[in-house]
Amino acid sequence: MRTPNLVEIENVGVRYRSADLRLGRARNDVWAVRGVSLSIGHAETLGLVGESGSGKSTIGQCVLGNVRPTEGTIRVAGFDVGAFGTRVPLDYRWVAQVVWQDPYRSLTPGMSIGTQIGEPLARRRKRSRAEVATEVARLLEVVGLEAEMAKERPSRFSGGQRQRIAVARALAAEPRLIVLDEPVSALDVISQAQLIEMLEKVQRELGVSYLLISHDLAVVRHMAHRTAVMCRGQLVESGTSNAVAEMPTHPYTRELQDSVLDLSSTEREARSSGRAVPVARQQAHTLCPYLERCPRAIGACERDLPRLVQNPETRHLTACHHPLTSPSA
Amino acid sequence: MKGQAGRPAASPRGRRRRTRRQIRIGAALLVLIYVVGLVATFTISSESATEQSLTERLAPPGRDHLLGTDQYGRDLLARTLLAISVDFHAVLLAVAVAVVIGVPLGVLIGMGGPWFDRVTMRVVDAFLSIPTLVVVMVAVASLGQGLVNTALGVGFSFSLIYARIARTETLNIKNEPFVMSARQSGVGRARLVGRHIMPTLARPLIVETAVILRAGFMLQATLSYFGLSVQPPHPSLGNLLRDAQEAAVEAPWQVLPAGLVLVAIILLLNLTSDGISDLLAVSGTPRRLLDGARGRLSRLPEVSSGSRSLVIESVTIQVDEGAVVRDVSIHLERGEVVALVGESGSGKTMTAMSAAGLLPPGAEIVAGQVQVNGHDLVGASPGLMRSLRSADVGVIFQNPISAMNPTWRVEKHLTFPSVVLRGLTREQARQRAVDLLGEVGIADPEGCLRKYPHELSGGIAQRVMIAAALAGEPSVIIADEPTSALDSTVQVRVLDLLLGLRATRHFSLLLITHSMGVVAHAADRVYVMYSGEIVESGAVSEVLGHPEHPYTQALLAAVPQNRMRERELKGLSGSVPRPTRELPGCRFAERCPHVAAACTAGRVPFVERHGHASRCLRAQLESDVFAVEGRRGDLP
Ligand SMILES: Nc1ncnc2c1ncn2[C@@H]1O[C@H](COP(=O)(O)OP(=O)(O)OP(=O)(O)O)[C@@H](O)[C@H]1O
Ligand code: SF4
Ligand code: SF4
Ligand SMILES: [Mg+2]
Repeated sequence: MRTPNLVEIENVGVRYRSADLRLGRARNDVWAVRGVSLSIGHAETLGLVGESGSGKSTIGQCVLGNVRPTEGTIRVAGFDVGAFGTRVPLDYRWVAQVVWQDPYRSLTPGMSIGTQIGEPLARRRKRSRAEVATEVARLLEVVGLEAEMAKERPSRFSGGQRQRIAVARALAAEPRLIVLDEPVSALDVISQAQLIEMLEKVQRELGVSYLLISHDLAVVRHMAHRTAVMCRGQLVESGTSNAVAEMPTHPYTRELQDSVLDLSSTEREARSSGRAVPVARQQAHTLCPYLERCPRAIGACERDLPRLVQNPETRHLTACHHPLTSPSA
Repeated sequence: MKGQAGRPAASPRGRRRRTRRQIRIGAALLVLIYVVGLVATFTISSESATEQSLTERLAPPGRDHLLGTDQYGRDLLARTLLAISVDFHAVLLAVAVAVVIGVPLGVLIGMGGPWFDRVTMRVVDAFLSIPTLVVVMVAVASLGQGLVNTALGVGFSFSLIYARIARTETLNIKNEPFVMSARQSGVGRARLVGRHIMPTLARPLIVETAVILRAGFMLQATLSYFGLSVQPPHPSLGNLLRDAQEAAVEAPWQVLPAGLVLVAIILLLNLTSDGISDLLAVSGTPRRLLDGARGRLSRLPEVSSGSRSLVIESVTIQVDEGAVVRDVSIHLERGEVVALVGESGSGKTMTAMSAAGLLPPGAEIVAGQVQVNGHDLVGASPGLMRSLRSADVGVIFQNPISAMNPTWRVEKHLTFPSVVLRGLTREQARQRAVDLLGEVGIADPEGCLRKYPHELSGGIAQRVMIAAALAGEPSVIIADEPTSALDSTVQVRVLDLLLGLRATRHFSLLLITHSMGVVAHAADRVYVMYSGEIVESGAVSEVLGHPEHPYTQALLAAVPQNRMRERELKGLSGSVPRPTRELPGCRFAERCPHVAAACTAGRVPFVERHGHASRCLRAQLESDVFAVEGRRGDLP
């Protein structure tokens, strides 16, 4: 049965247990994510942006089934992912795949890339060596590499090529969803542009959905149909990528926007607040996650947690007591 | 200073070659000794070495017995030769047992949960604290004497060492993205351990094995000396030594044959294992960070160097496969921020590291000059190099957390150099560290000092790195992609921090980046690198506003623009040719949309006009046309 959405995330919260095993020590548990609801349609790209530590990767891990949400539900293509035990069923690996950020560490050194791409193929269905080899060659071509490269080891590829190999391996499982966790942030602009083009082509041809996790608003704007913004474990804004990029209504989204260094940023004045940064932050998730830094905070912000509501003007969702209204210049 | 510019006495590449030779020679001689021993077992009958002949007691070396006989009248040469393979086999058996038990055990412990790990490691540590000799005694007491039984005992004892290393390495790599990706592709547990994890363990285990072999030979000699291993009258090096000791008064030379063989084996093992650990040692950043810290340093005398704090002049850097940096010239005026941009693999890091004396093993400056504050770096003595590196040039690496030693708290990273290099007391050094952390904008310096690197977020870790780089009060800071690993809000803060510090501390900054946004925001001048060459340079507003080289134009077109409406990203196809490839003309020709026949005919010169320079025939032609028509800049 084809549901309207491939992925449905409802009110998900994740609490990490502190790893401290010494007895008699107070547990220092943290909620990395709280109250997040998201959905991804078929052949759709959802961009998830936020600073590091905002819980983006945690959501990605939940969707992959590698982290079990402490509360809430996650459904992907009929699987109740939130209810998986410590082992993810093999069948689910053929639904959701992942490409990680670091191209230099995401391939096993010393093993030929053909073998690595072929691993899921061989596991999924019994296939002869020749069939696996043909399929590997085809996948390499899909991601824009040459079939003869299958015999090479990862060390001789550039960062951009390694990301393509990682994509080929993800595609080998014939997934419906690929979680892209900062897929281009370690690449230079030209490799970035090449990889983005390739990912878009793959989506058009194979109809996979992407969960694109990135701190780079410009990349998300380019690739994602819809964008969700996370701040310290909570969802603060979401809507179509154009609406979020052009008319951010949450002050935090605005800060993210302003911090993008693009070619127009020739002015040299310091833009950051200059305030000292705290080493570790704790988040209670009972007030607005952006309160400490927010220049627009009002009385209500000190009392209640703002709920996500639809902004009548821009039609996207914002969780803020004092949202920006006029489109940003 | 001049005149030293020839080949450095100990180039890193030469050193590596020598290390490889050292390993090869050591290993070859060891194999030779073993083969001689093996041949002996097939050619010399064991009777001739064990049969006693009281008439020929303690015969001196002569025609019948080349090395003479022992106190039982047995031929010493035959006994020594036969002993060799016996000892080799005992040691190899022990090490094999150790590897077969230890490595899987360690991986198993590493793959288990934290509780399993704690409990089993306690047990392993408890066993490890028992001396090997005692373990062997127990083995002998329960299994009886003999070579195989002692080898089993030694093997078991050594296996715990392997288990410990394998466990640490497994813990390190089990959360590496490549292991997680393999798991994500549906790779089963057995294959994951066997194909993905075990092979990556090989490196540290090989280093350890060389050390363990040496210990094994010493132990084997000791054990048979005490009659626990090889039983008399069968020869082994230990037995021979004991016999020689019994006869020491009458015939002191008897100790020589077995003694010399043993010493030779140990020395050769030392040679080989030192070489191996040199060669395989992770030449990663943590060591590099502290490289300067191997001896006291004194500040260098001032040399007048004009207005330039760093000059890289026509530098060519070579690795085994060829040149990776080709005839590159870069300079930094005092207090200037200069960006070096280019695709990955274009040679940015190599160029910058040549200025810090931190070229990786195997890379070497084969032509050109590098001067820091007027001091020549090429051909500098190691001492001078260290001083320059730690006092005049500060380096900030791309990935701050992996550039730190994971077992050190922040405090040690920041105080160690001051204590070791500047002779400060711990208290002074600590105070300095607190001040520095305050200066880089960390709110709770005391708390930060107590943290381990993995407990820091990327932004904080990068601030700590900056503090560490500032500690030497350098006049040049090289920042290699200081913000690429950080997200945009933190990126801006870290950049602004660096720019602010530059204003108060007056260093010049060489900023390596692939982000044109960072260049626009931070730099005064920019150099664009492509495939090992500088292809364009000039003031930022010039180069970004009127890029001349098609590659620079492509770089700018590929930047995703956040505030611009929908727009196609114009990516170039193909990739950078490896800098080591020899190409006839323009290195960009195979990707250039404007390529013409002249472009590949010969080397394209780097031509400068009004401080803006580029390496492109088309651009040069066009600007000549413009110059003739007087359209460029001259008209009102
Ligand atoms: N295994 C873990 N144990 C304890 N805390 C964790 C663990 N993984 C993540 N966290 C914490 O959870 C929070 C969210 O982390 P997450 O990795 O999801 O952030 P992120 O937005 O992806 O950041 P980045 O861009 O740096 O990857 C952070 O505060 C982090 O320190
Ligand atoms: S809710 Fe209040 S504190 Fe939070 S972003 Fe809106 S205005 Fe700022
Ligand atoms: S020299 Fe020719 S090939 Fe090279 S960049 Fe210029 S136009 Fe292109
Ligand atoms: Mg992340």
